[in-house]
Amino acid sequence: MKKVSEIMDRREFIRAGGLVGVGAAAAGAAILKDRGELASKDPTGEKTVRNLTAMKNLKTQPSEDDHIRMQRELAAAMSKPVEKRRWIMVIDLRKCVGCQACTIGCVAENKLPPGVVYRPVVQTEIGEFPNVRLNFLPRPCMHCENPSCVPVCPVKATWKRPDGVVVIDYDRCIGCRYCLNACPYGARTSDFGRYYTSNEAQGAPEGKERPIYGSPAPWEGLPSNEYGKSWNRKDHGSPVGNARKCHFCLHRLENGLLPMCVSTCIGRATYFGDSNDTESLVVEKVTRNNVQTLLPHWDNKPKCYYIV
Amino acid sequence: MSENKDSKHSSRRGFLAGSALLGAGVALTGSRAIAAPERRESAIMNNDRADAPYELSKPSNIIYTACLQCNTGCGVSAKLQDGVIVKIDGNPYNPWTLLPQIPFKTTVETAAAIDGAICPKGQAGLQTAYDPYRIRKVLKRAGKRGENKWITIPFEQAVKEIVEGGKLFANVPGEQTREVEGLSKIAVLKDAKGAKAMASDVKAILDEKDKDKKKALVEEFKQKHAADLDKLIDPNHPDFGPKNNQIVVAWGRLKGGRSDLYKRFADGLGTTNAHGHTTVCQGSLYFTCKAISEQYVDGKFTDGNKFYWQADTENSKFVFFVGANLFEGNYGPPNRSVRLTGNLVSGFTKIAVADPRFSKLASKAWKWLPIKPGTDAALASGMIRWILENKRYDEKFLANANKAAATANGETSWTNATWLVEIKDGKPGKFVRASDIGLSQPETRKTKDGKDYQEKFLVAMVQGTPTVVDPNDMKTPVVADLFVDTKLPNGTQIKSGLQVLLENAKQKSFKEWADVAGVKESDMLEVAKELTSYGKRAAVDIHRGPAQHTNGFYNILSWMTINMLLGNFDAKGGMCIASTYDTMGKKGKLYELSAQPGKMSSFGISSIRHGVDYEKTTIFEGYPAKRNWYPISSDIYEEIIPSIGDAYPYQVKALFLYMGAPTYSLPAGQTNIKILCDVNKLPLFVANDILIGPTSMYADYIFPDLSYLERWEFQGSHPCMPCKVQPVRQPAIAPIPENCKAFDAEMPISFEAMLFGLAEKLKLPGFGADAYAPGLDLKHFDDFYIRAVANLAYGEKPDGSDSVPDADEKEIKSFLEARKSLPKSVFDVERWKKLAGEKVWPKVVYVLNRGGRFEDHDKAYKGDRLAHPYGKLLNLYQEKTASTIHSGTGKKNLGYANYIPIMDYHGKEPEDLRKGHDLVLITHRSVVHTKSRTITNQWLNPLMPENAVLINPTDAKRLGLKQGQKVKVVSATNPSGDWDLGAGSTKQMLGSLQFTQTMRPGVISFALGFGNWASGAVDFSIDGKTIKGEPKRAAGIHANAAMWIDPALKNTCMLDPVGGSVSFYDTYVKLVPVGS
Amino acid sequence: MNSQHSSSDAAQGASGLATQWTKALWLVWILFLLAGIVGVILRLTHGHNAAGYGSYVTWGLWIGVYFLGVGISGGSFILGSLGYLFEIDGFSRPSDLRLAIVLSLAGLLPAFLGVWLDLGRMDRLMNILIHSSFTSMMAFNAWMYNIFLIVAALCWLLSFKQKSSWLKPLLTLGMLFSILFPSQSGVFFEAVRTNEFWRSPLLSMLFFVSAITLGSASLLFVRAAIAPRTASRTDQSHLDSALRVLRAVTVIGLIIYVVFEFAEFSITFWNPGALSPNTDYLLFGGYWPVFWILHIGVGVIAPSILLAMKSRGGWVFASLLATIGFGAARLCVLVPGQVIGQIPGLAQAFQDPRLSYDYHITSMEYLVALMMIAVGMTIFYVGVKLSQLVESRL
Ligand SMILES: Nc1nc2c(c(=O)[nH]1)N[C@H]1C(S)=C(S)[C@@H](COP(=O)(O)OP(=O)(O)OC[C@H]3O[C@@H](n4cnc5c(=O)[nH]c(N)nc54)[C@H](O)[C@@H]3O)O[C@H]1N2
Ligand SMILES: Nc1nc2c(c(=O)[nH]1)N[C@H]1C(S)=C(S)[C@@H](COP(=O)(O)OP(=O)(O)OC[C@H]3O[C@@H](n4cnc5c(=O)[nH]c(N)nc54)[C@H](O)[C@@H]3O)O[C@H]1N2
Ligand code: SF4
Ligand code: SF4
Ligand code: SF4
Ligand code: SF4
Ligand code: SF4
Ligand SMILES: [Mo]
Repeated sequence: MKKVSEIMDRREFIRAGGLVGVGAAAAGAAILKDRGELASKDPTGEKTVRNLTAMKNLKTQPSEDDHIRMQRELAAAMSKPVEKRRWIMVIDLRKCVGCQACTIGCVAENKLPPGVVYRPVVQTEIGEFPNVRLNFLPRPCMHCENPSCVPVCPVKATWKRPDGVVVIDYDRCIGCRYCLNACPYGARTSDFGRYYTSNEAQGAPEGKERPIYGSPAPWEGLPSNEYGKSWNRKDHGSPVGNARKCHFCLHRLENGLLPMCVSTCIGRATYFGDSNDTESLVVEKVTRNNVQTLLPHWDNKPKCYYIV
Repeated sequence: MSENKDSKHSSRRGFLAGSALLGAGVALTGSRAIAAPERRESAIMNNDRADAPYELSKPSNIIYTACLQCNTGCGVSAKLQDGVIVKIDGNPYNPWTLLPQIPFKTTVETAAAIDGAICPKGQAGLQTAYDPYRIRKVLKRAGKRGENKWITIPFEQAVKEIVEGGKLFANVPGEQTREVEGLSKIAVLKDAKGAKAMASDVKAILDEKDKDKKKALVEEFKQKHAADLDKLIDPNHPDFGPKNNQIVVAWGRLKGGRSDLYKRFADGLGTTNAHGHTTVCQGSLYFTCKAISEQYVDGKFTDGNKFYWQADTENSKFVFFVGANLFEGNYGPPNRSVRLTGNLVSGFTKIAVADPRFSKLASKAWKWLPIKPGTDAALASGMIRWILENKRYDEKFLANANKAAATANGETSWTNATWLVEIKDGKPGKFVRASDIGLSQPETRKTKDGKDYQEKFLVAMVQGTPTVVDPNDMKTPVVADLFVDTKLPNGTQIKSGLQVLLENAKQKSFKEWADVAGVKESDMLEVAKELTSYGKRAAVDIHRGPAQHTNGFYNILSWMTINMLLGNFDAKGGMCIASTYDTMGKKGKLYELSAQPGKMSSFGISSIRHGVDYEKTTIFEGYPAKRNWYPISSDIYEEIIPSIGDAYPYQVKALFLYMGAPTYSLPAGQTNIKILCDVNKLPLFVANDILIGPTSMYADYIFPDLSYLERWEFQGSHPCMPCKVQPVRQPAIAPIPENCKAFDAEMPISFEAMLFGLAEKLKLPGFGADAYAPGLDLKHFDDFYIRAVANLAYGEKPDGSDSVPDADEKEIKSFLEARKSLPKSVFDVERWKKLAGEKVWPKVVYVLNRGGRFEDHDKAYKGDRLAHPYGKLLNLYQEKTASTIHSGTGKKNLGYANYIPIMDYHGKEPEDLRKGHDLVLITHRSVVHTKSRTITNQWLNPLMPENAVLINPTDAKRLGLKQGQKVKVVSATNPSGDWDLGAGSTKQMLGSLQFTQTMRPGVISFALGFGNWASGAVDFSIDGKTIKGEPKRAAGIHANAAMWIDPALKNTCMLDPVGGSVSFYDTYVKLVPVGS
Repeated sequence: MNSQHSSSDAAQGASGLATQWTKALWLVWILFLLAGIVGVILRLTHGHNAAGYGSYVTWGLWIGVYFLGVGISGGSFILGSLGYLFEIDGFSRPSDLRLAIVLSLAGLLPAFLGVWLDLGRMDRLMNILIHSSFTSMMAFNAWMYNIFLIVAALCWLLSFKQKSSWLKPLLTLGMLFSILFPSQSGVFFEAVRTNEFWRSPLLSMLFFVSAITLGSASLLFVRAAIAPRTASRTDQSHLDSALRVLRAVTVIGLIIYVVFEFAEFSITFWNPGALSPNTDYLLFGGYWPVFWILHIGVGVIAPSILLAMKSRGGWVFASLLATIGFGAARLCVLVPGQVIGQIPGLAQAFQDPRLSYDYHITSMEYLVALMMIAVGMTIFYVGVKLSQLVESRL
């Protein structure tokens, strides 16, 4: 083996040292900087306060559907600036009837194409006849306090908002699917640009005199409203090619509506609300000893809880 | 894989071609967000894209209507984006989707911001409407029946051909010379007066008991009506009625409004043959409850309602669900789940489930009784015995022998449990009549239609003394002894109904009953105990599971008897009935829409022989009759086509079928295919469908229909709904079928247009000008529906005092706005306004803006009673049933709860069929699908791309079967395990095995909704062009073809001879592995 | 054409392309290219739908090949540079260095192609540099590769200079990257902290060792396969010593890799209770043939035996097999890490071909992988030709 001095002269050595040093320092700095910068740049403060009146005009009834109560509480939460709200979801598995209304409600609300799903309901069978049990586990995004999906994104296309919602910027995302891999809950799916009806009625005549409807289902081409924006899939427009996931229906919250999967839960198993509102139904539900989270060992700290 | 082959989605391709270039190009410049024209600060997300408002919570984008993805008919909001339904949610005014629903008076703005909850099928419903396979034009068969070859023809031509007949299928090989009789040649009796006279003479013939006298009456008839005999099917059997009866008008899923029009059409044609699908559904549930609800009127039992009860789940403390599949099917998941889950978790309600399959409902139950299929009455009998012997029944309730007693005791309904029954030869027969035993004098009273009759009164024992009972009397309460077993002074043996019940239940020990039912004795008794521990707030809630067997009638009667023992009828948390607002109007109210001047009175035995005793007819030839007769039930779906096949009692020449798929839905539905394919047995078959369905594919003509999102109907209610309601189904999107003209009105081709076109051509009474009354036409369907909505809005009081409020300006504006994409053929404000009447119009808008009329939730109860009670006599013992005879055996039917084994039409237990087959085949709903109808919905596919044959691993192990393996389902009556689809094609009854501990060993099941062979599942041709099917729609297994064909009847499934139900859960099968 | 340079530095590369292997390589290149074009067309017309990966198994063959390419790239650069800096016999000539650099680039650039085609939004490739988040190993890697690309290109250029005081410092920097990025590739997976199978710090070491081994195997391949039949004695012995070194490094590398791997799984062997579903799938489940046959058999045992023999042809084969074996080894990290869902039953809850925990490489993916290889070959050929050209012009 040769000594360094035999390999490089002094000048070369200093240059080499300099290059390596600068490189390493730059890398370190970049990592440190971005570590600190994961925070959201979303709008905050006064401009995020919403004055939603619909529920005020609804006559109270002696007993009210939990959905109505939660919607009233939602309006109250929206009257605070975003950084004062902290959305959480609580799913009472004892009430879930495994109907998958939430799954399809979400598909419809967000115009999800084939292969994209935000809230599947996992069914498991336990025990042996006749001591058998069926469990149903709806699985939205957990909107983790410590989301493992966020730091892996190479382009800062996903982050955690001030209200705790983990979002994806479809205009930024490059579709590398790193985050899909990093989510232990399988909560992210990729939009591969497919259409539900593409294989149907092939060979059907077109035009005004056509004998069967045939034409591409009109519902499939219209833009969705995720994040309160208009997303048109036509011509490979985003979110085609992007990672997609549950966003707690931010666009509905903005309008005083409960997340779709909550609204359509026929078992009334899904609770949603602002955990900062200690009077709220969702807090009532979450502060019990039979509350659990999924895969707690990863320390993702889910904000979607389960009552078992 | 071929996602992008679709030329229609050319835009999708755009990307593909350019993407490589684009990729490279844009990569260099860096991507930029899609141009944001007016950059405004984002409300939610920091991103360059402009914000877009949420449009779906504005009233101007919402039309409230009623779902029909399944028959639950939940209220839904069709949410429109650019005139397209993009989303369907729950209508918050409708009590199916919220508990309680929002008050009816809530403004539409507020309502628009609230979504009710509905099931996934309901949400996917827009895909039923926008199904690419929806037909737009009338299709005429261009090949053999079932060959899937069609041509399109103009609407007028179809109408003309059907009415006039001729060599309509001259181009089809084998039919070159076949002359089809048009309707005008079949519906030959047109003289309403003559028909009425004949009808009453036929009634006299039927009512004559003496054989010879009957004959004489027939001869008399022939002479009297000599001029019209050529209009009869068979002059020697005037009781067959006129040739008009050779037109059969049938339906599958038919709801209010359309049902009225269809009835009007049948009445116009003068045919008695208008038959629905009830018996494939839960027939015996309906017809047993009808038998239970027969009232003592004018000295006999009559006026029973075709209806049933369900539990008022919301308030029940204990419910025993028997063969009821609440979370997956039933009426239905959305409304019943919300009324249960909260109570289960809070501990307010406890439930038990009896089902051979561990259902999703069972997963929430305190106890699951994995009952052996077909043994419901045995389980019930064990429980009845325990309840009676341990005095756990509602003694006070049962002791009320008449209305006065019930009222005095705070009840609204009462039973005949105490009435005394005459026992002859050890067999209970008729009730003892007071004047027959000298207990009282007969009283001359007036019948409903004003005739005199002799009231003989009934008898009950009051503290050991025989006492006269006047059932409907409101003044003299009779509170009677429950158990009576004695002899009258004249030696007649008498027992109370309850005594009969007790003795029957005592035939077997608890252990024996439990063994028959295949459940643990302790479980049976514990449930009985629990059930009787909550007073009236407990109920047995039953559905298809016990009903759809050959012993369905008695299974249902057994369970309903337990409810009677609980005394829970009309009680909060007990047995509830449906309650609806009227739409048809009555004389003196807004519009009398049932009026049909010039209507024919149809008469004669129906083609399915319902509502008549075999013994009374002129073709009575002793037992067994060729096919069954149904004196106490109707709408015998499994008899419609097979009876045509046997031409029994007479030949049928034309069949209309609306929204039904008997070939798919019936057990052994393949038997129907064979008959439908035979043009000689059924010369003309016209179907009305939204696509080429599994039965309409055998039709000669298919008229396209409007889907449920494009049309009108009045959905009505279900017995689990305590509020009085009337949900309105109304057009929400522009029609997909093309337009046509009938009576000069432009309208989309539809069920209504088909009827109107035919009615116009045939000049049927009750259609066209002055159809209802002078000046009240029926030319466009609006003429009916808008007036019906007006009736609904105006209310049932003639003075309008219970009408709904007027819609204000703002509401009317959003009403119009929401309908801006509807063409004039379905929505024309001026036309609608005129029909409703200027004054009622704002009320019509008010109702339509809310998707119907709904009573507020708190009005559904009065204290601990239901606000809309049944309020009548309940027949614990059924004299009427007991007086009918099983036409297959000649034996009298029993009039009380009883366990009867599974039997064929000749009363034989099917041991031969069971031999070599050791698995009982049952079937169930998954929440994802409805019959043949929803496999077309793309969103539902990923939830369950195909169903499976569910089997307990112990069975699988015993049979050496593997998980996931493909097996054929084979039975004694279908040894090949195939669907014979006619026209040379077959489909294997092939499914993959799924091991599950949720199946009772020895029982296998499959979920309904798969294994389709039409509805877009296969290729077909129209006008010579082949249109490809989507194979996903053919996936999975539909094992109905394995279900037993009745060995005695040979061309239909096994059936319940009393209640009419088909047998869905009695077949024994074996599984034959296919492939490796 | 190159006879007058037969004894020069350039000779090796130049005439190298005209050896017994040449025809075969040309044929392979054409076949791979044609197949690759079909693959890329399929990819662009069918989107990702013709691929076997989806949303649960998000990465497939291409990412495996990508990491293979990165390994080749890093390893060959390190070996070339070290040899050059330490003037090891067989590596000391600038042409030796250039060949290593060219090989390094020929490994790296097609890897980029694979990743690019793997993106859902190919049009936004540049976001990774413009909007990088350095908390993400992917962005970090992207930057490193790009800087490395520049550094390597500079080194290549400077190697033509008689004396450059920047070459060695740049080589040092390049080596730093080369050491970093294979191990960072390991971190790429390790960073997925919610993946039990990937979370082992050994992964970096494994990737690093594999890079060195891959680098030496591929250098061995190109140098042995391309060695001129009619070279001069000095050239011949120069080559011989290079091959000797490479042969040794390859064998040792293979052994170390397996030892590390053994360490990784040993816990499984002595404590079967600790067998994770992923490891089970890899060693005994659906992936056993890839692990035992391809990775261990074809990739370790066979090349070790061949390398132990004297035949140079055998070495060429051995290096090829080792490379293929490492391809398999990459998949053995990649695939088992993805096929075990943490929520049992998830794939049944909403069924779709893209929502499956099964991964089967599709023909389109194979075709595109062939394209990656063809592109690598092209770059290598062009690089060598270019080196010759520049050299001959000097
Ligand atoms: N294996 C099994 N079979 C069953 C059952 C089961 O549980 N298991 N359940 C049974 C029950 S409860 C029932 S009620 C029956 C129902 O069976 P059916 O009453 O026969 O009817 P459906 O299957 O509801 O619909 C029949 C056809 O109507 C057509 N259709 C759909 N929409 C429209 C429309 O808007 N207009 C018109 N004109 N036609 C339309 C479709 O082509 C469809 O095939 O099935 C029974 N069959
Ligand atoms: N998803 C969905 N919902 C629907 C419909 C639909 O098609 N799809 N259709 C609607 C219609 S038309 C109807 S009629 C209702 C039907 O509603 P249900 O009758 O509640 O539904 P099914 O699934 O037919 O339930 C029958 C149950 O009986 C069980 N069973 C089978 N054999 C026996 C037996 O011998 N004894 C007992 N006790 N149980 C037995 C089956 O396992 C099954 O769970 O559903 C309505 N709702
Ligand atoms: S559930 Fe998954 S996608 Fe959602 S925040 Fe957590 S890690 Fe991210
Ligand atoms: S798929 Fe999109 S959001 Fe996910 S890591 Fe890649 S760029 Fe980020
Ligand atoms: S909150 Fe919204 S996006 Fe998330 S699962 Fe529910 S419906 Fe889907
Ligand atoms: S909608 Fe509610 S009850 Fe139905 S599956 Fe989802 S969480 Fe469960
Ligand atoms: S239960 Fe039936 S009616 Fe109600 S939403 Fe579902 S499919 Fe529609
Ligand atoms: Mo039904």
